[in-house]
Amino acid sequence: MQEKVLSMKQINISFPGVKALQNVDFSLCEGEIHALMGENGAGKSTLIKVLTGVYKADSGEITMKGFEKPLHIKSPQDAQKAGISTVYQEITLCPNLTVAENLFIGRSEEFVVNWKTNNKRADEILKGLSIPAKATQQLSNCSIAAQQMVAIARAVDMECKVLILDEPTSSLDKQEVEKLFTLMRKLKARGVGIVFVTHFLDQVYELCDKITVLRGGELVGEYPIKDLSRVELVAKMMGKELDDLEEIEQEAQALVGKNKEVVLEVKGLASTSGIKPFDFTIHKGEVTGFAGLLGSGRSECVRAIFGADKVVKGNVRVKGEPVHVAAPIKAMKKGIGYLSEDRKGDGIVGDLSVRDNMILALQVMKGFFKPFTKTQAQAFAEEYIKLLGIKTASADTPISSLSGGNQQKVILARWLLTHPDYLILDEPTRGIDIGTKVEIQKLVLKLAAEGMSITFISSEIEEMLRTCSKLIIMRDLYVVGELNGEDLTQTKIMHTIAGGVSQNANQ
Amino acid sequence: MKKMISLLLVCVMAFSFTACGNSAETEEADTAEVAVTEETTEEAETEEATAEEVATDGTITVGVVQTNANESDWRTANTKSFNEAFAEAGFEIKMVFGEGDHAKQISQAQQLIQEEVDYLVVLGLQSAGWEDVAKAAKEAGIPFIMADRKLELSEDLYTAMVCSDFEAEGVKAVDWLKTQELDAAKIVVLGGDTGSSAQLGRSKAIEDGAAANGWEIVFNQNMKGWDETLAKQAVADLIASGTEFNVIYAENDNMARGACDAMDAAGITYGKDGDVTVIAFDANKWALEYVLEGKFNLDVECNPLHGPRIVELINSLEAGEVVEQNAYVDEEMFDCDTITQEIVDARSY
Amino acid sequence: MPTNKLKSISKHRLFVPIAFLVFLFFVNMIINPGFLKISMGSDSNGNPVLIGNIVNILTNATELVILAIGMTLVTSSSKGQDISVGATVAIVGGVIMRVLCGMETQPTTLHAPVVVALVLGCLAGIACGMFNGLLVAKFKIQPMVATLILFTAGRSIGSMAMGGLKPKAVSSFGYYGNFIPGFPIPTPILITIVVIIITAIVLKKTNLALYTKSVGINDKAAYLNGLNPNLIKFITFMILGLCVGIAGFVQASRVQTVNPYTIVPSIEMDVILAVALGGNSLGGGKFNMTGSIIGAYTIQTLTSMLTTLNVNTNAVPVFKAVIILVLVIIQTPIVKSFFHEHIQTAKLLKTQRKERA
Repeated sequence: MQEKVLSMKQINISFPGVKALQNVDFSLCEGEIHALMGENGAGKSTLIKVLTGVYKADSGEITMKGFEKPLHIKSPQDAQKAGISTVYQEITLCPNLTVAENLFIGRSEEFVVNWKTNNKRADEILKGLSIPAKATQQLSNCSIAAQQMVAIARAVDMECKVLILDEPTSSLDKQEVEKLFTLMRKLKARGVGIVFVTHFLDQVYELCDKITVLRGGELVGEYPIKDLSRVELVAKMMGKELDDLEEIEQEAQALVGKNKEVVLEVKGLASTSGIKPFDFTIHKGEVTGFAGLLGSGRSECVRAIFGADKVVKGNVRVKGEPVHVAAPIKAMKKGIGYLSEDRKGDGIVGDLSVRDNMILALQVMKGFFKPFTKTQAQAFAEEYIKLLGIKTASADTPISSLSGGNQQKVILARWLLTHPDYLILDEPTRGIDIGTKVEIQKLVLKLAAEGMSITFISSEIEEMLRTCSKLIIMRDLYVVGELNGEDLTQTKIMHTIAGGVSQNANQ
Repeated sequence: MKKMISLLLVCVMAFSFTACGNSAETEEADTAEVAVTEETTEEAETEEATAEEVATDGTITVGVVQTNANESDWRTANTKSFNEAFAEAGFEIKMVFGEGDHAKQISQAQQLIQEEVDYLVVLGLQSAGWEDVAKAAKEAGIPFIMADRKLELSEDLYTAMVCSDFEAEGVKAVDWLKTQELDAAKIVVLGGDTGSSAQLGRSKAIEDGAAANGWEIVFNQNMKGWDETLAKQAVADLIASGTEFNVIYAENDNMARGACDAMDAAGITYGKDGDVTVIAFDANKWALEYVLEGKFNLDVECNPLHGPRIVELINSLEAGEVVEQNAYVDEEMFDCDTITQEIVDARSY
Repeated sequence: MPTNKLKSISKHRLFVPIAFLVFLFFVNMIINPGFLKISMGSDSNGNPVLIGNIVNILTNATELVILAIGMTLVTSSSKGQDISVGATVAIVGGVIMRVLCGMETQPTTLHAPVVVALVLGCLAGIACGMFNGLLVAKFKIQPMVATLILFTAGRSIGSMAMGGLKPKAVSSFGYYGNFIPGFPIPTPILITIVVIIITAIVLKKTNLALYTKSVGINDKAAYLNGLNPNLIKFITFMILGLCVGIAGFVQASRVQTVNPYTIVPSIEMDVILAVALGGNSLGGGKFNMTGSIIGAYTIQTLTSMLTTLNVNTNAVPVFKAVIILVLVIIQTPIVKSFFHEHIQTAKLLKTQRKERA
């Protein structure tokens, strides 16, 4: 057993209204690569920010090897002095300086800098770590991976004992990732303790020694990698114990195969968001789902279908007719609706009234010179307020003053008003109360029964099991499986998400 | 919060920009009032060194730091006067434009000193802040001549000046008004850009004059940008609110014209045979036509033709003569009773 | 019941702007009893004209009102302001004078029909708007920074458009900024009315308001609802450009001459202020066109008041600033809620007292 280099004990921190971390322990040994895992909001980044001095913990203790007393890290500078360095997903170096300048800038105590020796030293460091860059090269001319490595080299050269890599691989391609891993292994051999934050499961299992799982600001546990299977990891991140999984009644099954008319067919679609080309087909009256961990690419897939992200390749056919979806308006005109995942960010138009929010999409489709009269708009609004049971003072109330669930219903009404043939609902149930969740699921089934094709995405697998007749499973931006019929069980889904079963990836 | 701050900053920037813009315009107008003295050069101490340098060089190079390239008719005439007079005298001219930027003017002047021009003529956007330039010129043995507006410099730092005395212009108008023997003068003062030397000088003259002669100033405000429109709107407001007045003292031609427009619109008569006496400044050619037509009663000149005057100065200095250091330019005034078509025709700007 | 009604009125978005305008009128009437008086006079050519302070305010506010309309849209969609309106008015003015006067300084006839000058002036304004819009919408430059470019260069461009001359057009060009002989209502007032009516029609008959607000409030959501946020920002800048064209035309016609360096000095600040005084957030999003128009008239009333009062010239800016400061602070949510609370507690005390009695 190696020596512990860092340990954090009973860390607590809360923000107004939220307990971000509750009694979290974390420890790191020398020469260890330790994965920090959890869904979004689990507390990973909060924990890292406590460690690097961005946030101050309300209580808890941080000790490091070489320091007798517990550390008080008040700023990123303090953290650096203690030997904790962080490399973020976005490169935080200066692209218009040379590699050597980036390595040494801001670190020299002397007034006069001898760049000749610095360049020489830089070359040695780069060579020692096999980084494909030259000291005098301008940083922006290096590949993203090389830039990432230079950032790591800078951290390592500052004699760090603990290196935190926050999603370093998300903008790298496969070969670049390999190079980065080689570097990380080298550092490991030197005895550096590495905290590795990623959402790519494969990378965790390829590289790490230990895994710490957080969920909802609490520690789930610390596990040696060999003791935790992928399925178990996924289960722990999602908060389900495998043994507890029950088969849930599947109302949706009845709908499968009832109708065979293809509404939408997608082949090899990829967008600027980074998802790998995928195929997807949906029939009339069918409810399908995209499942996967957050960041697996499930939202990106539907965004590409709707044209919300710029499509880079692939083709889309709506009812057999080829369509180039250059912007959402094109998709809308073809009868596609999209309720986005981020209700606040790109769903509601905050200061506008409930009425204006409802008619927006339909109005845009109708055209600039053909506004609805106030009476028409009011009639639409009243109809859907009643139909969906939206709790609002009036149709004139700004949507931002409604509760989350009611906001979601307004947005839902917006798309129902357009009478789409194919409606994409990306996390329609997130952040709303249970009652509304059930209502929305019932509505989905009702609409499907009426012939609407629906894609339903939810972080809660039960919801998808209850509503979907087919599930597309995603991992690390790839489609890794398609489940339907009897395969639609939680266990099966989790196994597929974790990898190992049904590796029928397209690419 | 950050956004707010940046917004504020931008606002401040924007404001300061406008401020610059306006001051630049103001200065044009100020400059406008500068005129060439009729008196010929008198003696002042010339640096002998310069004369020698010039002699070795052959042609004389004159650096001119002008305010803006093209801000008004007056300025255009002013610039043209330099170019023509210098060309005729066989001087080489290096003219630079500050374009409303005082700091730019200073660095341009310093650049000219480095280029070893033989004479430096400065038409400053602002009157303060020229000490370093003047000192550098003195050390380099380059005579420093102020034109247009008197700069705030001690007498040992400059050689000569070709400047207008704005207060004297105002006093001239006041003296003329005294001769008009109005029963009770009720004066509307339309000032130029606040704080410009032309505005300060001309406003002071009328304020002092009113106090001394028992005239009543019924309105005294400065118009941003010496503009027709604002003067017109102000006078229209005065008429509408029933303010009585019988003298318009407009500190440039344009504002006088704006005031006339407003009176036209209200059916108030003015000028030679009218109820309201109109006094203007600058005496542009079109304004002299107004005087000739009897629309303006008086226009006090502000001569922009600095070129010949400076050529004369330089020639005197070249000849080793001593020139008078602080001679203001003499300025004429044009009365609607005495003006002739010839005077108007003789005007080039 | 009447108190409730009063309360709902006082809560209306336009309450403060209107109340303030009324207040200014009131003050004016105290200072100058003839403030509201409108009399029929005649100009030096014997044509009938309306004379009065109100007439002057309505006439002189024309440019401000027209520009405030465009600025409101730009503010809403781009979350920023166009500070180049003064400079672009200079460009428009320059173009119009060049078209009407050619290269003569005292032309005796118009070189082109006034309509041509108006159209070309508007096109010049729209071109400036497109330039600003391109920088903001396509290159994502902050509006204030993007418009700083024309702000800096515009007046010189205007001067260049006029070939460096300062021509004065024949007096018949002055009809549009003054009176049409024989018709006593000043033309600028008519132009303002027409522009306001057109604006009202456009806002009613098209989705301009909905689209602009949506883009200003949440451009991502607007995009997902099928809008093209960049295009809409661009269009609002174009509309402002058109407003600049009309304002420049009226301004040039007022005295039939244009000095690009001094025309409409610092009007951009007054225009932005008008938008703010109308209760609009300068941070974009929701807007209230009526508010902006009232704001513009408020500023003009204030300016006119300071003239009739003959306030010491050095004190004018301070005076104006203090009044605006008060007005802006009254409109902040903090002060508003403070007053409402006080009204409520006062009412509560009153009812309690009544009950006790």
